[in-house]
Amino acid sequence: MAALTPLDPRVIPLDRAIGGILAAVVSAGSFVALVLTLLVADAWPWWVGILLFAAWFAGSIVFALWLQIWPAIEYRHASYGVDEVGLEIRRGVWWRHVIHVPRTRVQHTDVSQGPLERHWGLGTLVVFTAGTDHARVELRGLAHEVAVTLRDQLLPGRESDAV
Amino acid sequence: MPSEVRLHPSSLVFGFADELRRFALPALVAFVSGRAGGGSEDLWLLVLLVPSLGIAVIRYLTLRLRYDDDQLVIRSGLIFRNERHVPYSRVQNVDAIQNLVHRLFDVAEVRIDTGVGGGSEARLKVLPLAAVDDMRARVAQGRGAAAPTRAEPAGAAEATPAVRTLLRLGPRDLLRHGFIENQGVWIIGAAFGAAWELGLLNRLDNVVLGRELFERASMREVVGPVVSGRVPPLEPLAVLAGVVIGFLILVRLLSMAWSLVRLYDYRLTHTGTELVASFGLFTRVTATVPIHRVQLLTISESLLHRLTGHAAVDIDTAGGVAERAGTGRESLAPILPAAEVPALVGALLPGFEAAALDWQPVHPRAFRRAVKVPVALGLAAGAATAPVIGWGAIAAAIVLAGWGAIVAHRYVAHLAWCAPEGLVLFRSGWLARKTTIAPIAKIQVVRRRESPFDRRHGTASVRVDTAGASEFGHRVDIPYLPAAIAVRLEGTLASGAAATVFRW
Repeated sequence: MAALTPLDPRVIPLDRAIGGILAAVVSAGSFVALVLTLLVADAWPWWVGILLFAAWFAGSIVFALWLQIWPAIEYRHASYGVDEVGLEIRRGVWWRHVIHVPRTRVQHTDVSQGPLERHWGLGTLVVFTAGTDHARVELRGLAHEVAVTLRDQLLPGRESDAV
Repeated sequence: MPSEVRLHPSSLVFGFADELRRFALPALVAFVSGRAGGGSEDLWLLVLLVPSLGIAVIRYLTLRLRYDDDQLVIRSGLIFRNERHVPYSRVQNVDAIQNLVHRLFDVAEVRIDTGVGGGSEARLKVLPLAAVDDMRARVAQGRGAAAPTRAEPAGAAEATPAVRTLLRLGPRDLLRHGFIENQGVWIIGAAFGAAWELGLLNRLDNVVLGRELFERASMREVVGPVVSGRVPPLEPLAVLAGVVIGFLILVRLLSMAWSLVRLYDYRLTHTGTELVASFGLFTRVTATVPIHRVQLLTISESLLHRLTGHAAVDIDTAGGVAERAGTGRESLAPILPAAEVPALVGALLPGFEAAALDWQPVHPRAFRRAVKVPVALGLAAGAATAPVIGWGAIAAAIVLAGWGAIVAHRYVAHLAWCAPEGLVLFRSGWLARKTTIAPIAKIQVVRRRESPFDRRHGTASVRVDTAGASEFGHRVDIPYLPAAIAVRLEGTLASGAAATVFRW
């Protein structure tokens, strides 16, 4: 069994930033929807509006807080390892998955980097196999250099032969 | 440092053309509706084109192709950057597509296929023709260096051309197959559809079905009293039952006739490297599957199969380069005596010995897990009938929940798996049973999963992913394994797969 390494801790601020953006978009969207609803339904008593705004406010706060807390929890349950067998990925807080991609089944690989990932120096390794459900296995939250190193380690070694 | 290749400048033209084509229909609709409305305000929607045109420009400007010693490297993206490494040894095919306009610019669209499930190969739009030839040469060269003994297995296999007949089905077998599979519904459905298309239906139900059956509203005479709790009149009830039974018999007969015609003189032969199935009365089909393409083998035993001592065997195959379209599930033996299954499977998967299989049950507490959902559903369904049948709903709920518990119990009791040398097998089903066998050399990915419920009971599930698996087919996906055994099985399968080389 491969020695497991945790993800790069910088994935926590990255996911918090993504969560912040998501929370802002969802809050703004639901705020607009709420205002429009209240404008249309002007027959409602005044306190319904106050109540709805309070609910919106509370919901937004809880959602935003949750998205700030969750990345650290998720981080604690994610790890990966590469050994002579191949790549092993563990993730999931409630539903825990352990995914093995044998080295000889890696068809090709991607290392990708989005703008936020670049800001934190992170990258995503994507391994492609000939499988059906797991034709694309993604490992995000790696330092970019680590993703590149892993990619090179997973290359079909000079020892193996063709498909 | 090897030099980098860029896309041909005409890529911009093709990129724009693609985007325009995608927008052509909505734009046309917008334009026409704008006309109809007396204005053309909707044309501002064309602004939506700008970002996608921008993407086409960025793609052209940023895409770089590099040939390393043993792999092809494709970099792309400005904001979202991606670097794809494609080892030459994994390249199945380099396709160049040239339409008329491509020819005008002396370029081609290139697709590099590595046989990834779902077809996410590299796509290059567009490269100069010279670069395509160069790429082919480099890939061939790189592949040659990586795999000097590529042609050997095929050559060795050709030395044993002994053709063996694995299975022959006579008319009796085919009639039995038709009876068991009962595909008559599809035929009737197809005939119904065709008749409807041709407008024959109105005339048909006058003549054949007896229009008066519906005119006299027999249905209402029967259904009405049942709903309102009275005893329905006997005569229309008998007519209705007769029609239903007659229909069921007709469907079975049709199915039997259909299987006789379609699978007439079914022969399955084994040529050493390939399986050849030939069948058909009017259209004679000869299907060839190289044995090494078999990814998964499934033995189905429905209730009728088991009552008559028979079974059916299907295989999942993954097409290589030549047969991309030929992926999916195929019937290997539409029907055969259950006693002959081990011999057939053994012919395909060397090392398979039915007698030596050490079937393992799942976790002893699996039933406790499996029983909850069906019992809850049964109780809910029973409760839902309360408005209609009143207190009877309690009885209905008990019966439904009891039935759910029985099904769960039998289901869990029939779950079994085993992992002999080089294979992994999984069996499930109570009335209709399925056994799936995956050669370890065909395993792509191994996944172990623990749900919160699994953790409470100390269980886990292990699933095996293979190429060309059918979406809803039976797979090797073993639930309720004891956690420690799941970990061991996962390790065995992953390291077993890693030790073998995957061949298409």
